Amino acid sequence: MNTRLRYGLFALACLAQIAVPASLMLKHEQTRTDGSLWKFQTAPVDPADPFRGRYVRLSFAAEREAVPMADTGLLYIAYDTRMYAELEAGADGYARLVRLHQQRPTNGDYLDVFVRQMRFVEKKEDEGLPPAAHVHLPFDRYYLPEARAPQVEREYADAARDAQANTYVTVRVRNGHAALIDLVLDGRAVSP
Amino acid sequence: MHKEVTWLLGELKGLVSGGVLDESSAERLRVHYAQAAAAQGPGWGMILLSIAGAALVGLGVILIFAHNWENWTPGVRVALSFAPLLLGQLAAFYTLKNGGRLWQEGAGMFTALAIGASIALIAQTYQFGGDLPQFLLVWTLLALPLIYLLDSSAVAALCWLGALGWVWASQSQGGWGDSAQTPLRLPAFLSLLCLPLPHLLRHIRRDRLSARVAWMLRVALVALALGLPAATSYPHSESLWFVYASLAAAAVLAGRLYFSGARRLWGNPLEAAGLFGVFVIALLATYDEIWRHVRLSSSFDVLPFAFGSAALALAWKSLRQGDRFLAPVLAALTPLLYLFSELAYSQPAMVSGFAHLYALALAAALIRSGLQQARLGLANQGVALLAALVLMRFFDSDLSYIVRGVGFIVTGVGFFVAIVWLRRRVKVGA
Repeated sequence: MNTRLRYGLFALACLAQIAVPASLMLKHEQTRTDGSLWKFQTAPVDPADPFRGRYVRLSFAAEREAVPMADTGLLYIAYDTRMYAELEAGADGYARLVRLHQQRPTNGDYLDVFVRQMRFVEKKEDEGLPPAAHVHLPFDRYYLPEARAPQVEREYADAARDAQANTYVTVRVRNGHAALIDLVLDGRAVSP
Repeated sequence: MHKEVTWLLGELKGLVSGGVLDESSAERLRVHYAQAAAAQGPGWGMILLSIAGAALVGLGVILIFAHNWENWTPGVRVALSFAPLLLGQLAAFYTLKNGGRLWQEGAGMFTALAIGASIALIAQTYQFGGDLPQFLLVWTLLALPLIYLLDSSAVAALCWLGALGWVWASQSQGGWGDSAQTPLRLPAFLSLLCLPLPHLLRHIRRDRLSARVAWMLRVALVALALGLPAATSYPHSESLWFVYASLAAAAVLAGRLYFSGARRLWGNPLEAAGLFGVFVIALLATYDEIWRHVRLSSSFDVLPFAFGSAALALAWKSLRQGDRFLAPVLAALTPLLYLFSELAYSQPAMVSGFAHLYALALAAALIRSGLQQARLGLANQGVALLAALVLMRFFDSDLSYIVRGVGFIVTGVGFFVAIVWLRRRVKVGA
């Protein structure tokens, strides 16, 4: 390999190495400043497993309900397929995932989500329902300083167990990308 | 290399005084090896130290950052996330300009670690969701050019381990983030493993018996062997048996053909790991129970076919070079296992009999090969295989403790006798 080509390729490799974290950062910054604000209610968690190392593992009410397909002809979607979930605010102010699209919706807010499994038809009255899938939200962890972690872990487990508690995360959403802003435990924001 | 040269230079005086060499020839040898040593560059120990040093400094910097992380503003955190990467790139640029194997390996390793660290730190600062397989994949691909630009074997090893990490993480998560399909995992894993291969081949051509090549082969083999179960999904996992058998047979044959000059089995990872695999598989095949779980499957059989064909081709080459016994026995392993799996239901007794015969033939081939090549270790493995076979059958049977005890003692004594006999034969042969 001649020297100039080698230097050129090295510069390209360095650029790519910097570009990946930088683009992640820029996309996130843009969403934090320009995205619209949504609240996602957390769901009860297994108290033995909310904390992994230095982050709280988040679980959401919106993930418990199957989301109907916008195209009712879609009877099966493979595990981990990326889809776009249309967002709507419920009467309680929390975000709901109302429909799943295969293409990015042209208007309204939506989130990039990953399909976990199709809804099982367990009861007879479910038989006529349109196809729906359980999905995974792209924000699933909240990082904390090491010293504060055990306390927040306990608070989160207590609050998340209590269905009445006012526990949620605030998220900014822009073009399907979500930036996690705050974890709010029983009305108080936990700052990292 | 260094040890042999030191030994030879030490012998020169005696050779000159004994009249075997004249003084001028001895002097020419001294000059020749002094030049060869200078051209060889730093020893492997120094290079390992440089790699370990870079890894420790990189990890230390990350730990210090992590400790004070909460005291810094997001801006400072972002700057610090990029700092190790930029530092690594500067060091890599310096070594690219000035050369030097020692620094190339160190700078390559540091930069490769810094890539992962900077992505992870940015993800933590901005509270990204976790996608471990995607992170490992991106990290591995970004580190990959450093292998070729800096000629860094440490980064090649890191990329193989990255591929291994990716395949295990993506198996437990079911994909790698973006519409992952399970059938793609095996070809993707194998492609990832192949990406550093040109670097390995280049060094094999340059000096196939070097420690650098041996270490790369070790890491690549570990990544391949441990990654395969995760790369295959449920219906295929039963045919892993055939994959491992064919891979092990091909590895031994390739090791014996292309790395035969290695001084010990440890210096020839292909032969060592392959022999271990063949040894275990030949023993397991003698159990009836195993054949109840082994099933053939069509789509995954491309790997046993590929490795098995490679084993046959290598055996043919070995045969033509005079290896008339061990090579055919090794090449027969995969076809025989297929035959056994076909017959296991209808003729279990026959399969068991043939599996025992195969293990005995393998042991005999190892002993014979060891004696022919004056390699006591190889012959000992043949004896060990025989002993293991006898002991396994004793554990299996319903014989009384006294009979089993006597059987163990006889096998143990037989083992000692065999070792003494082999040592004599090898000495006489040598």
